[in-house]
Amino acid sequence: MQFLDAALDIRDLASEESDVGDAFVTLCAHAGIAAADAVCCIELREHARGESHQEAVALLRRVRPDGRALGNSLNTLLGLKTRAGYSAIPVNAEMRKRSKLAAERLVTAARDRLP
Amino acid sequence: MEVVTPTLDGDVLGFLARGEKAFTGREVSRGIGRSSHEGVRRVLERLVQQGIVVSERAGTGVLFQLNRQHLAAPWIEGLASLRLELISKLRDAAAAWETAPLGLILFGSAARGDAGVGSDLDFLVVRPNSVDPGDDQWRSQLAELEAKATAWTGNDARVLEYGEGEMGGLLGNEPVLDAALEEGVEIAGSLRQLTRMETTR
Repeated sequence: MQFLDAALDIRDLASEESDVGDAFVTLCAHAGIAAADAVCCIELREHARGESHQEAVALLRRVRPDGRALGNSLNTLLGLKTRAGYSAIPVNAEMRKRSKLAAERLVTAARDRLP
Repeated sequence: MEVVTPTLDGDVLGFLARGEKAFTGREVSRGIGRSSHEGVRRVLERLVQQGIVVSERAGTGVLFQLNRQHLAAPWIEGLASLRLELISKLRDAAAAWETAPLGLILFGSAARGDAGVGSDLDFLVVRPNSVDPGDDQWRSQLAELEAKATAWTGNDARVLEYGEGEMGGLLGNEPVLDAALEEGVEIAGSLRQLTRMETTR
């Protein structure tokens, strides 16, 4: 949740949203990763360790009943994080919107599972 | 080869298995590109003693070759050709996609053939304009490609995605695209043809 708040703060404080697009997407991805770990800990009593993206997505997909959709959201975020990290061209508005939606879906899923 | 042996022996055997001829020790050192000649020479002598490598005098030098009559030779050759096997499996998987990419290319260390245990498998994919970036079918294809490539190799797969509409602005401005075009292995579609078309527009 803190990562998502930070992403939204950075976006809101920037004079041009596009100037901080890569940072915004990266923070959304971190929010999604943290939320996915929380969901897995609550539901499966374990979370992904190490750097493997695919391992994290596969573990999240085991969660019932919404693991498949959540795994897709995490995969979307990891793909956008790769794009933000590798590319010299800043992410565009569509990518920023998609990363926000995916991060919100994962953060909401984690929040809804908290006692 | 590193899957079975992370040692210099594995690199030397892999190099000899991929070659059809005999090599000098220095050629082997250059071919594997990461060891001292002295270390390679010791490995070659040991492998000759073990019988998996044969040596012959050639003038003042010695030539080394994989002993293809050895019972282990077919397995060593198989391990040495893992990269080609991976490329073949990736092409088969991509050919079955319902939504074809304009280009799908494997680049980075896996394409160059120098990937290690901790290397990522880097893919660059170009999505057609007709496909929405969030399209379920499209996203599932990419996720499945990453999952399969990771399962086949043990290396994490990462897809760098571009839309067709972005390509015009990328040429000459995107180092990773230049690297992919230079060293990449085409898995589906033709990224090189696509960029040529963009250049002539």
